[in-house]
Amino acid sequence: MTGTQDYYYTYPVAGALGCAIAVGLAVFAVALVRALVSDPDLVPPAADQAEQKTAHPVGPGEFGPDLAWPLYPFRQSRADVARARRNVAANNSAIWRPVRWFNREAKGLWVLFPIPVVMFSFLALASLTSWCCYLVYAVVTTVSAGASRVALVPAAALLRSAERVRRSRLRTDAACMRCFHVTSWPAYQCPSCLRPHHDVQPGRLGVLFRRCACGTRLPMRASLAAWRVTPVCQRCGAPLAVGAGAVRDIRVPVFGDISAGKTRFLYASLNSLTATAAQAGLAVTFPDKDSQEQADFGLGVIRSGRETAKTSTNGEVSLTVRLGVGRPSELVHLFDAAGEHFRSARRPDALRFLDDGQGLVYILDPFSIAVVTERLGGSSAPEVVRAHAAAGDPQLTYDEVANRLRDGGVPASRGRLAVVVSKHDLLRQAGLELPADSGPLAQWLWDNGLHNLVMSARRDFAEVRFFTVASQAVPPGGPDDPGRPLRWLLTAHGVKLPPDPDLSAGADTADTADTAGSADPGPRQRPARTAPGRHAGARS
Amino acid sequence: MKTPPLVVSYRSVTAVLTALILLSIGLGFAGYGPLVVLHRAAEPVSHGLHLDRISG
Repeated sequence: MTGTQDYYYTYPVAGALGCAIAVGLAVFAVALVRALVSDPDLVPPAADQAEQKTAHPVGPGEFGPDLAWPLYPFRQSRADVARARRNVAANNSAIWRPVRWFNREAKGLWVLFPIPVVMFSFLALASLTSWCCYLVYAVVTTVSAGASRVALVPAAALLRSAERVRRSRLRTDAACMRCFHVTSWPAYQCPSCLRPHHDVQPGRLGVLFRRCACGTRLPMRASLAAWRVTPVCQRCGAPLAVGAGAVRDIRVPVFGDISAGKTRFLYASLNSLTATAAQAGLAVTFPDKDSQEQADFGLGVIRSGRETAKTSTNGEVSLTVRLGVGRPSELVHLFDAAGEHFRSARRPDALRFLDDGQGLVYILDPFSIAVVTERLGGSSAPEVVRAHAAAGDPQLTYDEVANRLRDGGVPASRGRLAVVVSKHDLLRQAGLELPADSGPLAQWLWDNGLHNLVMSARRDFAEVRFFTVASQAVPPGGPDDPGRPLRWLLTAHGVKLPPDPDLSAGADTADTADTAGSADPGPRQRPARTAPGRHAGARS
Repeated sequence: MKTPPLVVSYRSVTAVLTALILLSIGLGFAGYGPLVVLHRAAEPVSHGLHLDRISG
């Protein structure tokens, strides 16, 4: 009898407890579905960006965080847990509403004791169940987010380091052809909303990919992004060549006096480089329309033997060449400006390209050397007039540029200088033959009144070589090949070009003579360089 | 604003994990928890071992 009576009590109580637990589960389920599916608290990129800016204020010259969706464990997980908590609290508040009414409006019903107590206990158990479920969800989400962060943060750091090492090894600094700004990390433009992403590297916005605010998926590593989206300049926003920031990038400024033959050298050396690359099966292309048009025009002038037009003082010539195809390719930027700028090189911002050049080419017109001019019969001699000789002193132009570099703090250990004596074919026609090798040519310049220039160049730059070039197109490898200075500078920076027999043969003497000073040409000449690592243009 | 797929995936995973844990807890309270089920499955073996020990 006792056992039967127990069933009368235990079954209803167990059923009531089960119902209370079921109600609690339902309360939590509804709260969770609302928090995650139907009415979530989504943290948009703009809100995350604002939070990041508040937490880490952007300093002058810095870019704010990019507008992209943060990874779930870094921000959204907290928002979801908070939203679920608010929903559970709101649902519990709703199920306790009858009790509040009971206590407020129907206190007389307490005469029905213990029914109100049963009701309160039922709701208390339901609430407890819902909060326990929420606790489980909060723990699961927090632990998952923590574990994800533990895995993602080192992975992102590892990928960033690998990318940094790769960039440093390849020297992938990207140069803008509009403002001449050089950056190690270019921005990349979203192809859908055209918004620039300034800091494309693994981090809290993504490890392998990031999602732009517009929803477009972008690669997180520059080595991928450079090929899939448009690289843009960090400073002026101009589009850069495809692959910028992922391939080797070499900048070669050409400077010299008015009418020294800078533009002609630029196109003639490009012509020679094109021929050399073709022999090696290396594709030479121009990544942008301007470069293509300039190259077509300039190469046409060189190949037809026509006169080169005077470079306008209003604009600079900047030409980008891509050597090779795809990921193993290299970008070479050639810069030229009107000679008038170099007479006051410290002032104009138009010559900013000089500051970031990895190898400089100084064009020296031999007809502007006073001794040569006198030997040919003066400045009105027909040979001098025909050569359109530069009027200025070669030393002055060099000094202006060297001083500019020194003022800009360009380290000499980075600098290579190719001193190019132009118009050698015209000089030969006038009866003067110059030595072909670097050391003897330097000695010839020294003996003909340019000893200060030779001495300064050797002191200011880490490595100097002297070349003679013709004013006309010359086959690669031939005497006065205008491509030799450019090939020397490019191979010195890791570009794989076919070996240059003349350059290799003269390398030993030229290197030792022009970098270490061991091949002192004569008793009048002082040792070539003092100490390496000083600023270009620095005076002892 | 469209929810990114990665957020949807993360939410699904956490919701499923939560459901599985709650289910385990519920079954445990009902007497069908993982440890109980394991114990019952191993009962014939342990019983046999017990018989061997007391007989030997």
